[in-house]
Amino acid sequence: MREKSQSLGLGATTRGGNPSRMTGIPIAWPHCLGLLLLAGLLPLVVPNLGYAQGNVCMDTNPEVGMVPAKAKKIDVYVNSQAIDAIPNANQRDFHAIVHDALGIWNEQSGSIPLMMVEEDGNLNSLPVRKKDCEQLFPEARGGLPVIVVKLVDGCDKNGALGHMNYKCMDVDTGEVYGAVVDVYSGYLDANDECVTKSFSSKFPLRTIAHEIGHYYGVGHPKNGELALMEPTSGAKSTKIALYPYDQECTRIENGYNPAGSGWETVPVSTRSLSIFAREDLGAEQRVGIGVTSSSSGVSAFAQEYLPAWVVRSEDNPVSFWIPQAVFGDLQTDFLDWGYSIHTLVEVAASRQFVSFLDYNDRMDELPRAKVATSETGFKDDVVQMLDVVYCHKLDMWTQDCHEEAKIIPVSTNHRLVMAAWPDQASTIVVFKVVTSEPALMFAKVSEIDYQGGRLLLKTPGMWLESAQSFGFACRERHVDGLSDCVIVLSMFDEFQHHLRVVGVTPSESHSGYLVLGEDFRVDYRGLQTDQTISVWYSTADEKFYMSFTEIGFGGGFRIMESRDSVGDNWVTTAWLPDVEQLAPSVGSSWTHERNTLSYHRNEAP
Amino acid sequence: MKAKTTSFLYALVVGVLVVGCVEEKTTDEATTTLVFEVNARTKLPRMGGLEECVESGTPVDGSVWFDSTDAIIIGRLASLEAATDLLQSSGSEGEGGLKQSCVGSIDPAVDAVFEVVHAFKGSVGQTVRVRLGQGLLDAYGIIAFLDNGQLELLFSPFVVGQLYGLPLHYSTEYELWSPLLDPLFGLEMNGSSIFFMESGRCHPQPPLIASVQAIGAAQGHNTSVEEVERRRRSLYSVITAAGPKEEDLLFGWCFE
Repeated sequence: MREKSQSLGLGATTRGGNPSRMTGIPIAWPHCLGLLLLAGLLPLVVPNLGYAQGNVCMDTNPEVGMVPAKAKKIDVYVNSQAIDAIPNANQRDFHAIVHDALGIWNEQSGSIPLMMVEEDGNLNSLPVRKKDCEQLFPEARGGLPVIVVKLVDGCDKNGALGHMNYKCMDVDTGEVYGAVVDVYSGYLDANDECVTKSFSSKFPLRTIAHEIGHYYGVGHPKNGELALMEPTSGAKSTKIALYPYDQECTRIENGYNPAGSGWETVPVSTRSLSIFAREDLGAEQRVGIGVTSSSSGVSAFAQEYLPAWVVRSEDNPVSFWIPQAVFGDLQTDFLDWGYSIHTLVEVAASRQFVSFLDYNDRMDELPRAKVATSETGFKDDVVQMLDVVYCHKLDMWTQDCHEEAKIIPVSTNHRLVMAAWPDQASTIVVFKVVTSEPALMFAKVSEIDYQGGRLLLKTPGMWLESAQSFGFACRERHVDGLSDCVIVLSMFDEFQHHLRVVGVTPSESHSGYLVLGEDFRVDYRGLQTDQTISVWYSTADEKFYMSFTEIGFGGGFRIMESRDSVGDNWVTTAWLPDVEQLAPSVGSSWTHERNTLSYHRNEAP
Repeated sequence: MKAKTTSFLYALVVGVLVVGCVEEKTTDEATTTLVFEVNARTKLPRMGGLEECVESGTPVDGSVWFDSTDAIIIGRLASLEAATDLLQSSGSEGEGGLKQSCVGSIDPAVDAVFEVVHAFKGSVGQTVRVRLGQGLLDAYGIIAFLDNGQLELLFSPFVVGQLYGLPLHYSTEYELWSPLLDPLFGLEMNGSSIFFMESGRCHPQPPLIASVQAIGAAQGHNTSVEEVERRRRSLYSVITAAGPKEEDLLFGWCFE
């Protein structure tokens, strides 16, 4: 009996490209010595993050990290000419499956966006050499990197469902720019007969997603971890999604250093929100990245065409970037690019939770919300409405909710900000409520089900009426006598716009809501009513910061800081007149407790 | 190109270690002793290594291995040449199937020409041209391409002048000899011991045969026709309803 013919051996590269071959390059080939050294040095710069800490990916899966990341996109071609080999399947369905498989990795921001380009039934393989690939794809949209997903009519001799072959090599450096993913239409049964598989929601979704993981340099888990990269789909990871192993083992993102030696490696902590902004960005658009660093108080910079989010902190030294804009010494090129389209960032304590809402009305994007946890991997849902549910009968001992009541639907067209409190037991949410009167709601959320469009509150929320827009940030940990978080509200009352700062203390339950700065009232006639107000907390000086834009005559970009850690008294830190720029949104506590991250996205000038 | 220089130096170093002298000693008809004089352990290509299949690789029975081949030889590698006589077509404007000419770029197959030192089985002549298609080269981890029309090989363990053990299979359709995915074997420095590289778990496993004498002893047993056929089928990359596909293991690619 031939057991392996029944296996779902998603072999890395059995017939074709052998990943060990690629990792063997640095050893056998002096040209790749740099890569070898880089691989050896990576553990030194990777923060203590889960799998990276134990070098699980690097040491036991030596194929990790060999795919270069110079691309803004990876074009993906599909050859589904053999679709007739699969009953009840058609090319459209196959393309949809490929698209879904790409989407799984697109959720992982350590990866480069994958773009499905088109069907090409004649594209059966890719050349060995990069230069030949360049001739074959002279107008590759995202640069050279290209993947061909090919449906093969037949079975792998050992019953594997798919293979990935590295192609399009730079033979002088050993870098790989292309891959061919073969997906077999059948498997060998116990009698070595090739049996056609049934097209389903899982076939060939898992196979394609798995093989693309190899392109990103992720190997098979060696220690029994749940993973999409498990080589047998009959194993534990029945859910087709990225697992922590997959996320952590995605190869290191690269960043571009225009002033340095070009592309350089960014620590793994850059694996962050990513994809939405990047997904729709072409070469003609610019990406502006702002970073606030607690190590220096406040700083920021921007990059063109940078397909990644970046994080900087004193423990995460990435020194090659030149800040183009430093708050306090603001240079205009950062802000002159134009108009920040949107939006906001999340925050997670210990990477437990990331939420993300991305919307704008300028590029026809849908409002989107994202959530990620370290347990379930990134999930992507386009959610139009969220039901906020309050728990009427809560078992205080087990914290189980025995009776729920819906409060109000919340449109994701309106802003929603989340942060995970470091106790990791709750998430703080501030959202705009759709009522006849504009209002915000602040709440501790116990359960968040984006797919179900549902937030469950087990403690009462706090209404913040008359608020037009807001910013929100929390300090790293509770300090007696101080509020955990501050919400900066843009108010419109008494026929004037002004700001109000509210302190909240979720660590002490709902009773900890505290309105700070009743006397702090910042009147700005030019304050936009629905703009982003960025608020962040700096561990370096234990202060809160905020930034926003005033419009009209005398308007400009303003950054303020709290005089002390209380957050009830603010002074202007920087003022950039004549710049109409929406403030970048900011999150704090990202990845490392001393990291803060902000970003915004700009249109091309 | 520096890589070429590196490869060349590597080949030079290994090449001088290999002495191609072959001595065949026959004591009597009943107990034939074959000893091939070598001064270096043969370097072999290895298939796979990181892939995962459920079943651990199990060595094939020596007799099944013997009977599943069309020829088994020990030969001295005389040359490695690009083979572009027949190419698989792949390209955005190309048509599928095989073609004899290509206006685009070519990733060639490789013809390894061997001087036959000893044939355990099969009649292949004094020299045999063994075809290594791009699919097979992939399995070996060898990068083969043309640079200004000249064959370039990266990560190739093959050394001209070295002795190799070759289980060979004949394609009647294309009239080509190829090992397909059957592992090659090498000779130890004592000249009578042979060894196989352990294949990756998803590849056909070699037999537990450790000497040239054992190769000859592997024939003549009553082997199961089904097992032999199963072994043959396992040597192809893809099995279709119509049977195994061999083009990928025999030919290069045309990209146009």
